[in-house]
Amino acid sequence: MHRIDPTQAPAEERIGRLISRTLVVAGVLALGGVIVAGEWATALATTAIAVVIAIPIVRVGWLMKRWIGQQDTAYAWAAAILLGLVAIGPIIALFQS
Amino acid sequence: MTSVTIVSPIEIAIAAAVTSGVGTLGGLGGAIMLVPWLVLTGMPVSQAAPLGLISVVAASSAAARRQMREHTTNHRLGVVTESASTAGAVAGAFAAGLISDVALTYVLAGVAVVAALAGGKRKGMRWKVDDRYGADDVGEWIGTMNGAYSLNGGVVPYYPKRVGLGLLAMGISGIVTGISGVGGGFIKTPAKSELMHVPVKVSSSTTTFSIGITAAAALLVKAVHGDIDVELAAMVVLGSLVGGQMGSLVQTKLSPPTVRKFLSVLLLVVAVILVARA
Repeated sequence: MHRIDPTQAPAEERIGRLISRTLVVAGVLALGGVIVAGEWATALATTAIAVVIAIPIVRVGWLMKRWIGQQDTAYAWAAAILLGLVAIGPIIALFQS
Repeated sequence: MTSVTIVSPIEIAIAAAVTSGVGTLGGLGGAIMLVPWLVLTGMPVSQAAPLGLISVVAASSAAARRQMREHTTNHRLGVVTESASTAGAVAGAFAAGLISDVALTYVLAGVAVVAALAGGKRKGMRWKVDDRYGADDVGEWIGTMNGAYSLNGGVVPYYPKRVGLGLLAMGISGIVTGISGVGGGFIKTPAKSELMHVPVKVSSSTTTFSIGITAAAALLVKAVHGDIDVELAAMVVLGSLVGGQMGSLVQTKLSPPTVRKFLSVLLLVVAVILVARA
């Protein structure tokens, strides 16, 4: 017997819409980074890249929160471990720089 | 950062769109095709690799909405397998230098060929539309990596097999990534599909989701080191956003056996690219 969260589809539709809208913003920023000249171009392109990088990490955080809410502890832990593993690389890089 | 490539930024955006589209459709990520192409145009690997990572992250998110709507992304499967893969990548980074790059590349090319043959030879579908399941069963199931997705108006349930072996394959793909810097999508998607018996569309979408996470983590490291050419990266973002959308749209329209055959052809192309790189 399996359990389905009835709120899964609407929740995924919401996060999907949020991701799409955020990507539109990232796309506009990236386009600005291509069209505009000078320091503004760098600033806009850098912001676009930061937004693009943040999306999958925030998505895992969102999944972890949902799985905690569903009392699906094992998978919430898996998401937490993945976020921890993802954080290791940049932390080591920061210490090295 | 000064670019020494002979192609224009517009051409880079178009290449990012094409490789992201193809990579999203097959669940391999576009970097494995984009980076060698950029290197062929004269760009140093150190500059091309972050652009490849950007293309993977952008396409992964661009495909997200459609793949979630289709319920072909199994987040639980993706998070668990990517944890094994990321742990492997960390271990592999420390093991870098222990194995010759050339030898490793030939092994990877061999793996790609075996995966291509395994998927290409198989006929039909393992998991078929099951009338006992209805629309309420579609999605990922709580507390398990099992789930169901919609196909041709019916519901296809699936139950991943040999999870331990699959996780081992993901760990190995991570180690390979850590050692060689070659993205592991071309191992992860066939491993899910052929080893774990996950439907190919679910394997592909789930890998597209999960490789975005690892690529984002790797990009953070590149950003800290100042290795990203932001102007070219902006072009890659634009191209990959379009490519990711197109790839996920085409994947929706194709039947699972067609996606599997496409994946097999793509894996053979990857094997050729890997051998050429070696």
